[in-house]
Amino acid sequence: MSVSVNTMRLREATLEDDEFLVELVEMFLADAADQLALLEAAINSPDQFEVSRKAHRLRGACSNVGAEVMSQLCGELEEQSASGTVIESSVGSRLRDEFVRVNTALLECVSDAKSRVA
Amino acid sequence: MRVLVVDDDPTTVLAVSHALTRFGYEVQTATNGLEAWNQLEAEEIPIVVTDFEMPIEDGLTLCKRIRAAEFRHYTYVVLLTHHEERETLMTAWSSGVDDFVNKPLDAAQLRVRLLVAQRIVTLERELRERNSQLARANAGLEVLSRVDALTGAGNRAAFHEQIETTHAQALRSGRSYGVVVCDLDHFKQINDQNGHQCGDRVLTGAVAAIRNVARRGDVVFRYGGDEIVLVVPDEELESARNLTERVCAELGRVEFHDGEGQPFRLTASFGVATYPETSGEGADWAEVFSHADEAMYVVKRRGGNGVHAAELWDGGRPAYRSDDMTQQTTLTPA
Repeated sequence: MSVSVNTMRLREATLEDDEFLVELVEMFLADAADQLALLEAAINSPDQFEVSRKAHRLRGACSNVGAEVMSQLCGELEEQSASGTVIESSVGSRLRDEFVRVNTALLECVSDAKSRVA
Repeated sequence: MRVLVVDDDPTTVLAVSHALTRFGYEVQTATNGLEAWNQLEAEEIPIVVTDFEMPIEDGLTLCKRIRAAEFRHYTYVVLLTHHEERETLMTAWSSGVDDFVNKPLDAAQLRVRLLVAQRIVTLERELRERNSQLARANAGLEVLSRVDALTGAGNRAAFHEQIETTHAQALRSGRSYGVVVCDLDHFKQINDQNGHQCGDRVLTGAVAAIRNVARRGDVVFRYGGDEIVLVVPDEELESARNLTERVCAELGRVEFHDGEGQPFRLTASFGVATYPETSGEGADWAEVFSHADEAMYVVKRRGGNGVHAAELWDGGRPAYRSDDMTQQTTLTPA
């Protein structure tokens, strides 16, 4: 299993600006929680296309903070729903588990960043 | 330079905005194509960085709107993509997208792509600025090409334009108009004896005197050499003649000075003709003009300094019957 958050990627995306890193991560965590809930609701609905749209949206957000595994999971989900493949019900819980790990990893990044600022 | 960042994902908007602000751009944001469009319509934003898939209105629809819009300026569109498939990219190009930047955001790549955008937008601005300078210069030349440089009166080309318009208006409205031809007396002598500078002053003064008397709507032209023409719309023969008498008197009041500073007075010969009274209904403007010219020659032959009106149209041709028909006109209206 690869690491949940590519910290190098996160620092690159924030142009080594720690204060901004904190801001971006906080924005991501709030937004991703909402998006994940919407995606789960879509998975449980008959609208496959909505799954594809929501997965796409979450994939973009994840990629911005270096949450590569979660981004990849979203990508798979997006592809499956777009191609009409039946979505495994386990995907939802795998995503949620991964989000927990992303959350933890990102909060570590935030705390590192804050200590660098201080 | 202003950039509009459009994405429904707030982290992307934040990351892109942050990077662009760092690179020195002024950033505005929108969360979908429609919102972006409202901003683009309201103000001049030269660069748009937009996501592909968005709710309400996607990036390609936005791009098509931009290309169909008649903005004064060019809008450079960069599409944010997730390594899309070849066909999707082809559609994007044909929708008018200028460039792509892949997600996840690579700030270094974004920076160079935006430098390209900036270069194109700057070139386009310079081109636009030069075009408007040229347009202004052309408008200036357009005016100059119709003005006599010495007297400020309209030139021969302007006269032809004006009289064609006036004649056409008279035909439409059923109203009349007059043409006054003025030829300064002994102008060649003034030039020869006192020099061209004095001749120039005489021409300028004569035009000014005619303008003093002319009413609003009357237009003065220097037709050539020392020939001045006045076009008087909505005027019948009697009132046109009265006006010309006043012009003649006004000209006689102006004091000119010769090369040695000695004062002298100027006289001129005036011929008046009107449409349709002296020309007949079927006449064209060249006939009206030629009748005024012939009438002027009547005065010339009597020794100058006076006004003569062409005779009323009697149904035959030509309307004007001079006591000396052998005198040929030197004017050849185009």
